[in-house]
Amino acid sequence: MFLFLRRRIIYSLVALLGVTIAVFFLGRLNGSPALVYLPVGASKQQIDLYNHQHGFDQPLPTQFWQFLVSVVHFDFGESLSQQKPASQVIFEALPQTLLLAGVALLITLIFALFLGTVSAMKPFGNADRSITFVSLAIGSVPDFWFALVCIMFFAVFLRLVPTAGVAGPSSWILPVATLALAPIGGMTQVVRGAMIEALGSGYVQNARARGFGRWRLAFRHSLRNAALPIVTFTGDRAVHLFNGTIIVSSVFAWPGIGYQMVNGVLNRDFPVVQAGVFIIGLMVVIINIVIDFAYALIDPRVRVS
Amino acid sequence: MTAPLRKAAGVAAVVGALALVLSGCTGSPSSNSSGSPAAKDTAITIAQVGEPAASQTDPCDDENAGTFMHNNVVQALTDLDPKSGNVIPLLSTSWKQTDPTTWTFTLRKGVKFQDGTPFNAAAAVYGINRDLNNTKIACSDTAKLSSGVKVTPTAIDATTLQLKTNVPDPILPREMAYMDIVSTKIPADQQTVKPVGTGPFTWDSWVSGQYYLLKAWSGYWGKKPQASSVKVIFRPDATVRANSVTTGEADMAMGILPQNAQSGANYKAVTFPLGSTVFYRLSLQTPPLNDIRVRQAVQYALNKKQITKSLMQGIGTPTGQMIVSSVAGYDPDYKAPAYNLAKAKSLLADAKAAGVPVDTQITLVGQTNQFTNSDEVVQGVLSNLQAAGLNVKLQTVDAAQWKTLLFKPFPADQAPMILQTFHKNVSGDAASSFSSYLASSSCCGTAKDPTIDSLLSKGLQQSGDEREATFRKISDEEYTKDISVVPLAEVSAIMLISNRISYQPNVLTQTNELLLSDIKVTGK
Repeated sequence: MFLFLRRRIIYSLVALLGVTIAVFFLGRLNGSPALVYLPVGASKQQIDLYNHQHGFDQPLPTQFWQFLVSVVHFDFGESLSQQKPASQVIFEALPQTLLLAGVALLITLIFALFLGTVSAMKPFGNADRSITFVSLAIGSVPDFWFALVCIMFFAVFLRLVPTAGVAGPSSWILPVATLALAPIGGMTQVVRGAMIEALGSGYVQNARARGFGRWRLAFRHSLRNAALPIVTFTGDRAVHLFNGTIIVSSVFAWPGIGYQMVNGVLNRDFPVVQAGVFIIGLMVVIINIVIDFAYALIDPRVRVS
Repeated sequence: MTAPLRKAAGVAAVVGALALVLSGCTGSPSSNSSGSPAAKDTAITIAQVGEPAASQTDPCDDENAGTFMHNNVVQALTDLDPKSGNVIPLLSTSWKQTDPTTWTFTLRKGVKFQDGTPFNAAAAVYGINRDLNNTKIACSDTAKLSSGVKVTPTAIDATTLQLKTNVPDPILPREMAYMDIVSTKIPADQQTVKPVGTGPFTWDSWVSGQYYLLKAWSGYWGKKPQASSVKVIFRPDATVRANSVTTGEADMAMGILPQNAQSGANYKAVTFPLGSTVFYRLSLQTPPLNDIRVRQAVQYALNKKQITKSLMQGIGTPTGQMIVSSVAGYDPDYKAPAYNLAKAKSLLADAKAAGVPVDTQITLVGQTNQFTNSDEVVQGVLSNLQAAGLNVKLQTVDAAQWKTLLFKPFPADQAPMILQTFHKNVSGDAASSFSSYLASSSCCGTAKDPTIDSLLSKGLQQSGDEREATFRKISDEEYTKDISVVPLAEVSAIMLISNRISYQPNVLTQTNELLLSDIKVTGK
């Protein structure tokens, strides 16, 4: 078990390092920050001064070495656009993102487990066909389109929720719904498939013969054995929810990591982009390790192999 | 629910709870209200496109935040009348040119900064030096001076300020309208995110990613503003921004798309001039654009009326000049070549017959979201140029890449390029536009015309009618002989304004200053 986890951690850190290095160099292929922060007509002296103040006049290998040394100390430098440590920029935005993603994931699980299980209890019945149709449909809806339609209907016409921003509990409804919609569709199908297999197994038939009720059979006995693909998919969705927050940040003006990352890219704010990628990468690594760990706990075969 | 699934749900719940705790630690963004209950009645919310960089809240570099900073929080010696374009008093009450390189300003008495520091000639010297003679921080305000001008301020007495320039600068009072003066307690060696000026509003707070808040200042020397506070919220999506007014969440939304510009029962859409133009800068270094006939063909190929009508949808007016009609130096007598596809084709045929490689591929470069519907406009221009017979491909870049292409030095082997340019002239004088795009020594122009250089040098020393006459000669030289730029349209903007407030936007509103004191709160 320990070896398994150690191997996974080493692989993940190598991947994280690779992504961080790629972001460092790719970001610098695309123009100097001086051209973003200084106005049209800025003199060469002003541009040189700006580059010198921020170390952009150093050779790229020197900049990279300084970057690597700083990352070890969790120092990503000063944000070019916000004049405070880049890591602080990201950590200030992190709670908004974590909370949004956490709530969306929780709602996804609740809906998907219920709908997928109901669907699997009588395959190809009316309920299954309806749930399958709806889940496939919502799983295919582009989130940015759904977000705008929701705003038009619930915020503009019905005036039930704010159009955007963070201004109280009601402002969470549309961003959470946008983030959770597609995962609910996808995960419902995963739960359905896993539950059909579990409900068809011998021990369930045996339990049914002993007179157990169908709801108890489904939710108490079968769901446990259908858990492996669901847990895997949950981990996958958790990672994708971070990506989803970028759309949410744009449409709903949600001040999370997505907002800071998009602004960082547009503003050539290298420290913020680097800190964001590193911290998001680190969280993805942690989520994957947790999922692997859970997988190993659930299925002894994983531990043995 | 089974144990593993409970774990999965538990992980999600723990993540949510953890985030909730962290969120509490950092403070609820919405908890930062805009004032007392009584003050809320006149509190205003404005939705704008994006959040400025922190560096751009420094009054010496307030390119993006300037709309709400300039003349609201910080003020300058002079101001510009948006209707007439004339220079009017602000922190100085009068000024006179005592010799060709010396201006003397009489300062307003009884003015204090928001931190209680008195405003006097010494403070003005500090503020102007911080803007214009600063070696520690890069200030964009220096770009608003005429090319090559250096200003040395001196305090003669408490209310008399002398500005000496290294060369004659007849429009110095106009240029001083952009040099915001901050309190002497704001350090000169580092940029500030908490500016302190003499304006009617204080820069109260800024919640990253959400809003910044300005509050009315009771110690303001002039007429008190009606709004008790102004909260500027950031709404990047254009439709959401418009909806913030239609739903009553905001009183005003800027940067509205023509397709969202419908008035309703509780709000109205207002179109107003931006003082900006769209033009196309042609690279003159390499064939085929180094041939005058090809550049003339570009002029004739652009169907400006069609593009402004169908693609700019009421926010564009065809123009033949790179400055708008309200800018000193605009030539009202100049008639730009009208759309004539046959003429464009004929010119290209002539050039081809003379051996010009007119089939060489030209890159038309557009910038994403450069102005309203800019992506559609550049597509229209592409279509026009291709219809004329030019071999043009479109490349769309972001702002930073665009600036890389805009600035000199240009590569010696640069491929033929037509660069879509969105130009705003905030000074009200053609000198800054011509210095940036037409002079041989410009930052961003492709022409090298000694005649223009000579005229510009002469015009910079002149004032009044003489100056305008010289600038018109420059226009003639450029648009008929050089054709390094091909103007397309003057650009307007649209904002949505709720019936709760009353405000008439003007040419300075979106690009320079939105005077919050001009907003009247007419409803609850």
